[in-house]
Amino acid sequence: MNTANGERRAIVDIDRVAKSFGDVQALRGVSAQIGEGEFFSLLGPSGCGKTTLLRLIAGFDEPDSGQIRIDGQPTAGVPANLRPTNMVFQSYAIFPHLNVAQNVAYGLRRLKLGREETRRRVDEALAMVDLAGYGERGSSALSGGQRQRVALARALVLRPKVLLLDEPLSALDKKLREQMQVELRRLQRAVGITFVLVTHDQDEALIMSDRIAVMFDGEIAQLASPETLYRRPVSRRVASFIGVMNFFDATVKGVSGGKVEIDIAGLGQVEIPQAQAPGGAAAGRRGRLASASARKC
Amino acid sequence: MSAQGEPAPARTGDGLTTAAKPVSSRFGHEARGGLLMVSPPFVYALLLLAAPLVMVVLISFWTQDYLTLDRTFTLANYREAWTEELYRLLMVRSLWISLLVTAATVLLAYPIAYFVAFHAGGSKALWLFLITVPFWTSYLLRVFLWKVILGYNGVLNIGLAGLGLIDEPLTFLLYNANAVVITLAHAWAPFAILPIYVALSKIDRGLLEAAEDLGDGPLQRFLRVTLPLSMPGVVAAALIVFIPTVGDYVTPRLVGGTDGLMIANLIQVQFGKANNAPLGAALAVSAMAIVGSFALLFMWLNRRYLRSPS
Amino acid sequence: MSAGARAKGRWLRAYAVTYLIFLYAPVLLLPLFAFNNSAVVAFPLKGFTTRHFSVLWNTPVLHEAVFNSLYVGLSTAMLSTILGICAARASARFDFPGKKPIIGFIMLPLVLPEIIVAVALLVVLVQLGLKLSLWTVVLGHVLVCTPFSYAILNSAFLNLDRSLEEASLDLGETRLGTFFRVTLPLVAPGVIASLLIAFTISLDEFIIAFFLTGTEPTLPVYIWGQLRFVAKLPSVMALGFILLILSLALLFAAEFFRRRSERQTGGQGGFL
Repeated sequence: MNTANGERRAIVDIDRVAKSFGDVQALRGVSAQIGEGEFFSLLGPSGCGKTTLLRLIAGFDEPDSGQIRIDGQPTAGVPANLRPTNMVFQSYAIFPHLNVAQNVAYGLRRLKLGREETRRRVDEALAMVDLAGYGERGSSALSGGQRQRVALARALVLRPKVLLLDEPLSALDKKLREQMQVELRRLQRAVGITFVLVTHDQDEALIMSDRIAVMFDGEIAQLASPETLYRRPVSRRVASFIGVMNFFDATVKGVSGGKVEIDIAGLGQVEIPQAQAPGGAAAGRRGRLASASARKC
Repeated sequence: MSAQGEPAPARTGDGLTTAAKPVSSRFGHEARGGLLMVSPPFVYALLLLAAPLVMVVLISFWTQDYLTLDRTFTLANYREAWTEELYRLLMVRSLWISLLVTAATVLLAYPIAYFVAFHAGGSKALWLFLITVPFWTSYLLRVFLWKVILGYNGVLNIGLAGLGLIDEPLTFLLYNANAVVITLAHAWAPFAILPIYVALSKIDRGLLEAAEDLGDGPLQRFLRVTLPLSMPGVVAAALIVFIPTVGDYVTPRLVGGTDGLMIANLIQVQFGKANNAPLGAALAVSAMAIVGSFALLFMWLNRRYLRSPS
Repeated sequence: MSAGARAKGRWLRAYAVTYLIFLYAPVLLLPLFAFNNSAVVAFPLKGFTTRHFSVLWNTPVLHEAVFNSLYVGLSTAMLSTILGICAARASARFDFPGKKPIIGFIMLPLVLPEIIVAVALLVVLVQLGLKLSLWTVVLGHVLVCTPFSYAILNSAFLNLDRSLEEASLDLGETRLGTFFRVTLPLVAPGVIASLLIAFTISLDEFIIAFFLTGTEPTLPVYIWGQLRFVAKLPSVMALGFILLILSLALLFAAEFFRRRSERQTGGQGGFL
């Protein structure tokens, strides 16, 4: 994978965005750039502000301060229906009074494509999500997985610049969820559209994303590639949220030649590469070590 | 990346209004949308309910001068409404009948609501539907048919005579306050059953089991848990029945005879034949004031002594 | 369930059935007298006839009253449903200052004695010098029907999954377009139920019509006039029977649409 970096052109530029609901601060000045064609995840426990951020990008709410640019254009005052983003809702929000094809064609009407072209694009979108031939099905006759695919097709058929996914897999059972993780990733590669995924499931984020923003309490605690997050979490909180880990209290004995020598009570002295040590490791400091490689001990 | 010192600016410096301020900023455009949306029905109610009610109050201080209204302020109408023997009698009787109707309706309704909430099993919706159906048939005719049932040669008398229970037709059934109470209790039944049912079905079954587990028998459990928790429904039912029945016109007119006439009949006469709208208005305002204070007193008593959960 | 609770259930059921008989007693008499071959409404019954119905057929005044009532009922149903949609939409979707008192005020006619509503409107109309007509009746009926429309539509709007409307906006539809393409179709059963209920209430309403109608009587006002004449009563019973059937048909239709509304707007749950 040669995708994890910030060199791409930013398609979504989030600049010091803050948002409160009543006296609850949902976002406390969040900044991040999401690159073009990137699979970007907002990961965090419920209430951390990740869904709020997604809804601000979609245009369902306006930030109290700060701004969001999409493809270089400021979005302040632009309503959701005029933004080049589309969303897959947590509930999928499949229109119950329309069949599958009508659902997928919903947003195409404004483009005035003509009946043939609309039909062609709908069929194409349905084929893309493996639902070819399901067009005439009533939406109430769909399984959870099928609903999710319809929601995807309905959003992708409009060729948005950014596809927003709000916990799209949370309603599925475990097996289907794992299958869809792979499939979503494949789909994203195939269409080349930027995906922004909101999830509270660390495995899901680690498997699918190019980069992940881990959020706590309305702030981004760490924004990095899955690899970096896993190997070098910046704090104990991030580490414990990312995975099942062991924590050791350790004292740094010395740093030399790219190695850090530490002393872990009860285990003795261990040398680890400096690249894997938590930031700020210096001789004489007591600190906590939590990393995947420490598990090898 | 994220700086802690970047919350929405200046919001905390508002002193006393800090609690309200973020709310209004959140709902800023939402509040406007909501008010815009609600304005057609609200303005309609203001123009056709609030304004007319104010008008009634105003007019009650005026005097009818044959075909025109004398707009000088006077309390004469109220003096007449409160001192005239007949008016006082009708007012007291209206309240008394309404209280009887309320008590009868709520007492009769409670077991039904209880049955539907706890013992109707899967046919709750059917029972509720069956209870509301008669309410949708012509009110006038329902009242009139009670006259047929309660009359001298009515269904009830013929039935009772047929069973050999009475020798002569009962005469206390029709053309008096009893008939009014029975008929109104019938007409308002669904309005009493539904709120009580809602309150009962909201009760957490766990609480009932807890009471039983803590040693309450069925009766204590009912008196100490079920009844207090269903009081909001009972209060709502009582008010929903009491307030409108005071002003009922059709029932006293059809089945009340002269002993069963109520205040609404008098008000109608003032606006009609007697052509004394100010006196009619004064009677209407007085009736509403009395009913209103009864309702408030009732709610206060309930809150004070029954401590029903809000 | 214990034996005691079962016994209690049996007693309650017996009571409930008795209560239903009490509730239905007057209604059940209607068909008896409507088809009773007698000039008076009294027992004993005298055999079967349909002649009371043919009397109705030959009474032009009645036909006018029916027409008046239909006119008032249809107008009331439309207006109160539109107002109900506004109020229900506002309360289900928006938070705004004064929401509770405003909605409470709109619901107020539900607990006011109808004679107060009637008298108040009469006073204002007379003061404004407006002539009483079928439209003045409509004004009053809309006032008392809007709370019912609101109650029905509010649950329809509350059941509507908000993300459906957001999805529509997200897919590029405007707010107005969303209302017509998503919101309205999904609450349509509620709208129809509201129309039917408001129509039924208006059709049956007497006091307000009695006070506010001019020279054109509505059906209940006409019936009120007939109740004074003993000779007219059998045909009034026949008329009542027709009304009963009609009300029941409307009520069943309204119930059907209300349930469909529940299913449709709440239809998000099942994955099957």
